[in-house]
Amino acid sequence: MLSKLKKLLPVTLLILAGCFPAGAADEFTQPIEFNHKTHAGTNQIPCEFCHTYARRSINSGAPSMENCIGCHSVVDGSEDEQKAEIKKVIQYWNDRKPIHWKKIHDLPDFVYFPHKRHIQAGFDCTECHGEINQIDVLSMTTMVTDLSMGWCVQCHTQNHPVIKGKVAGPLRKTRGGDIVKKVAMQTPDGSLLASKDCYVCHK
Amino acid sequence: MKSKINRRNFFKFSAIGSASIAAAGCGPDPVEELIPLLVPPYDYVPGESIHYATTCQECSAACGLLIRTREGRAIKAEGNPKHPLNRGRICAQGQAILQGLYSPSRAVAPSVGKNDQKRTVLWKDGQQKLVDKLVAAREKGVNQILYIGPPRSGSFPAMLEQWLTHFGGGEAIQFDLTPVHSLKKANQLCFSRNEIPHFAIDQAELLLNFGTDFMESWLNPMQLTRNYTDMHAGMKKGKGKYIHISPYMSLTGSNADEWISCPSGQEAAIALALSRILLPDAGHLTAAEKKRLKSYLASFSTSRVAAITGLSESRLQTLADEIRGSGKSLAMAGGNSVAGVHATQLQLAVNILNLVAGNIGKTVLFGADYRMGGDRFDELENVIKAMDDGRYEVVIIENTNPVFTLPVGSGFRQALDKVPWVVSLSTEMDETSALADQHLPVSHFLESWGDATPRKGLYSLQQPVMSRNPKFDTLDLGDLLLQTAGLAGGSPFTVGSFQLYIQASWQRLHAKSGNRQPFYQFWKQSQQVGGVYGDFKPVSVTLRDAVLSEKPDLESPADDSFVLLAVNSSLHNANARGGNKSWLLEVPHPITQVVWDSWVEIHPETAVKLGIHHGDLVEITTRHGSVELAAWLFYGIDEHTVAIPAGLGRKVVFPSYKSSRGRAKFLPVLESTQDVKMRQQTVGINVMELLPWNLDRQSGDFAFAGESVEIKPTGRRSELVTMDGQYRMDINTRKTDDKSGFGDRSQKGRGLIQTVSPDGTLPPHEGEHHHQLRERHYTVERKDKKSFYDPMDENVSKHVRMAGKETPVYHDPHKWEMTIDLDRCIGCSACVVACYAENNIPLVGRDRMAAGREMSWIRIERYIEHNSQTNQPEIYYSPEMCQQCDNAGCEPVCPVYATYQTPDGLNAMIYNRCVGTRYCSNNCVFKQRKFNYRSYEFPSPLHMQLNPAVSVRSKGVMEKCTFCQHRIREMKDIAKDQGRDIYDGEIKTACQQACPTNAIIFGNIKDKKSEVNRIKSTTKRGYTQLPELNYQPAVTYLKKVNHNNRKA
Repeated sequence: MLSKLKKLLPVTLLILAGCFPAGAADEFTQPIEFNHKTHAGTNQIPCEFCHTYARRSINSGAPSMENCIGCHSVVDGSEDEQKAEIKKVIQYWNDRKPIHWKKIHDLPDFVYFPHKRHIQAGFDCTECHGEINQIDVLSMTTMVTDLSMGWCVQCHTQNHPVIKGKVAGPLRKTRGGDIVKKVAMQTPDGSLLASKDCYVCHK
Repeated sequence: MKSKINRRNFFKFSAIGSASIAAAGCGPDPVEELIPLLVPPYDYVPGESIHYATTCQECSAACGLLIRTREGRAIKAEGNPKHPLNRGRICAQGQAILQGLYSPSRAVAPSVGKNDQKRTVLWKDGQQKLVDKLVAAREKGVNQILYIGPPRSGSFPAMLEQWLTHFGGGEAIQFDLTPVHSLKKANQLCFSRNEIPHFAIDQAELLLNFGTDFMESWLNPMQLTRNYTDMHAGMKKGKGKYIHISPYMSLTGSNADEWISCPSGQEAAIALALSRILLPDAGHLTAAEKKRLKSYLASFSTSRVAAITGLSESRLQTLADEIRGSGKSLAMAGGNSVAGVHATQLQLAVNILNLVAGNIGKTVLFGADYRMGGDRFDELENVIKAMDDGRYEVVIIENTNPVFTLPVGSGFRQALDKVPWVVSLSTEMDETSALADQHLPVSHFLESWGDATPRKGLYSLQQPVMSRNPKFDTLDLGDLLLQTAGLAGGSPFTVGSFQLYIQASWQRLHAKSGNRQPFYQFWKQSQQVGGVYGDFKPVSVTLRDAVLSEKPDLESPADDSFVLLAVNSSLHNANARGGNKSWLLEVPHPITQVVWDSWVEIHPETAVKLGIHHGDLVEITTRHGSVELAAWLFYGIDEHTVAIPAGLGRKVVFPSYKSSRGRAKFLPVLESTQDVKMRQQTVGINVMELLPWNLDRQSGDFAFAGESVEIKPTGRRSELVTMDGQYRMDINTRKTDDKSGFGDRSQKGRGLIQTVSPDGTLPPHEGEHHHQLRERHYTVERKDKKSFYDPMDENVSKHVRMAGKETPVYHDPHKWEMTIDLDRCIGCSACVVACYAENNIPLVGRDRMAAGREMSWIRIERYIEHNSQTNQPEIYYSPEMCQQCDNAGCEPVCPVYATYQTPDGLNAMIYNRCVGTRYCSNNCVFKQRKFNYRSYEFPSPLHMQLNPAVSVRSKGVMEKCTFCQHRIREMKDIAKDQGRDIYDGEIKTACQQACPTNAIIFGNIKDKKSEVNRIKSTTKRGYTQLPELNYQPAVTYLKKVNHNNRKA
């Protein structure tokens, strides 16, 4: 019987290897080596300057080509690698082609995640995306969270929105507060929690 | 070791083997791309939908549309609430325009050559070729060009005329098969007004409908249905009455309070007999008019008419009494089922009836001048003859399909062969483009500019809701014409694009209307609102004496031969635009519930005489052709008439959803994965192949009715697929001598549809048995009133304490509920198509529908009840969708908690949690949970229509109606952004939004002021389906109201 198992082993291993194709753990490369540290860190560009729709829409939006060329038509870069990458951006603009960025913080299609709700609740981008202005090139390994459902639900059930160091809640007797009181969860001391209802995120 | 493996080890190894094969299916998610825009439009926000107002061009009714777009893609067609004709509703065919926009059969590039010789060319070459041919035609002489296009009101016809003149002149024909000319001609003869009047059905108390399918495809079905609902279901001024007189019941007639069957061609006699009876009481007519009318109507005595039509004399008398007794009545005639060679005579008779009953100026209003339908068919006949004579050098056929929709006897195809250069301008290659020398793909109307004037005073703007798909190299039709005029030199047009042409036209409108705003503001407002919506001034008319000089002739009674009717429905009409639209083929026809096929309707007694059983394949033969069709037996048709639906039988390449299940050689129980293929296929038959080129000579209308047919059983059974689930041969029917096989299609006592009379009395008992429509027969008397969740009470109390509250708070602040008024539902299935469009519901094709695998989240259930007092069959419709039960039977049985009750009162379905046990579907008593037995495909580019707010489900998950939860969330989001609560009526489910009769009302029951709350708390007609099961559905049905507890 063991010999029979041995005969099956290579086949089984081959099939199991299919589970882990070579490219999974590899990093993909972005079409342009965009450096967040230079832009958001050194030059202190606010997140929403490029990711313009974060406060208004479910998507935060990638910066439009117009946005990039707005500066880079005059900003050439200081180092040679920088100059080469910026030339690529200008080439994209001249060709009238958008840059196909690879999405790093990607949620499955059956999840509804509205950026605007979280930004408007007072959360800072760094809560979920980490200290992006300190990271050179973003990749799957630089992500501060695995964006699993458990991670989201933990915040929804335990953490409170904190704005400028103050925890949100208790709700005041305003018209807006009235609305939020009806729909949001509150802990006994009045602090706000997000909804735990599955249908809030699953579409 | 023995070479034979023993049984235990075999199972061990195969388990390991299959486990590893199963594991090989997993892998990492594919990397998604984030693609920014180049230059984002100023007000564009990705992730939010933007609605654009435009005008529908699917038929000539020109309803107002609001198209929902996401990221620059049109994803849903909704009605424009401000448009006075359709008032926010859109029909099933209108919902399906997106399948025309994203049709996989769309032409992508210009081509030259006929049939198999077609080869792709560049636009500039194609356009230049066209210009060369046009210029050559101009040099040859005058009027060398023929342009056949769809009916258009608005600015386009004037531009077309100028364009034709520029090329030496030509003929422009508006091609549409709707038989409106008999109506217009009769009005011309009677009242000197060659127009389609306004039928104020909402003002009438009695509607006599001689055959029009106004709920389906006649004139503007949205407008007429809404007006009808105001009369029939609006309880404020009492319930109106609707009597349908026609040889063919149709969906429209099935909603009538009474259907009077008469032999085909004899409808006019009834109208004239009624006029004769009513004449003495017509106090509004002058003595002279009365005298003339008396002699005109002399030959239409009740006895004579009764003998011809089979309608009893007493019935004619009571009909006349009803007309006399009602305050305002209205008689209408039209539609395919009465469009015979004497159609104008019928319209004249109905005009006389309206005149005598005093309806002219009250419920029949002239001055509206509705622009519907195309040019007369006798004009088309002349044009075909001219083509045949070689009169035209260039024939341009645009967005119409005369080769398919005209019968062979018209001679169109032969005439087209004689034309030196035939140009086809359309979005798809169809049967006509196959015969064209050149095909230039034009943009879909959703991508084009235009306008329409469907009625006097009403100007509807059509603007592009998205830019054209870059893969489809098409040009806006107007731009194409302007460019060719420019290329030929000396163009009479001063504008560079059709958009500017429309703008210039609207500048003239702005000046004429005396509007005080600057033009820019007026233009922007028109774009936002959809146009300028003015009213018309009714014009008073008088009877022309000349019309009474020619006495109408009673048509000789038909012989024993059978008459064929080619009929329209809410899903298809004779213009055959929907013949390759998969939604319209997959949604069951409301009456027959047939999918993906044609059928012939035959009366059961006739069938028995001919030896035809229900579902048999029969051969239908006319002088012009013969087809084999499935026989669908039905009492809703005259015994000497048969009806075949028009609009099917297209012979183009479109996605075929054929399943290989059970037929593949190697693994017959499995299906191959790649089975949505673009294939040349024909669904159903083209009924026009059976019809002769027969016109009503007086008006030039095409005759859809009247051709005699032979019906022969073939001895074979058809493969008809109907979604008519309750048809069971083994259940005893009331008619024990049912030889036809029609069977019992009633509710069988389940009480899903209940009725009541206007004064509140229930349908009577019948002997020992309750009337089926009164209540459920099989009501189970539950000894205890315990609910499923009673044992959980302690659990609930515990959680209430934990939350720090004193009492449980359920559903605060929202609990979503719905009421469906069965008195309003007409069964048109616009809601079904809307749901398909909104929720990314996959199509499964005919083979799988035969296996019961349809994926619709809402269906129209149709029951045929037999009323033993009137001995008539009655047809009832009920929309069935997930009832979002409070006490659902599907929720507790899910092993993984994929379905549960939300705090909103909805029954949620979390797709990615579902493991496919299907226990929930087993427990659903309404059978509205659908399982994805496969990963269904959306062939490109139909995938662009998919709604990003709704997950696309893959194989192995259960799905069902969610009360458009994504719309609830969208509106709650917007409200939250604005810091306010939701207004009632702000959230509209897709089905509610599409419904032309406003049968579906959705809202928050916790809101004291909401419409749902108002209806539920004040109605006496409310009930839920299958109440004794204590599922506590969130959908309340309102009982259908029948006059005297009888219907049709």
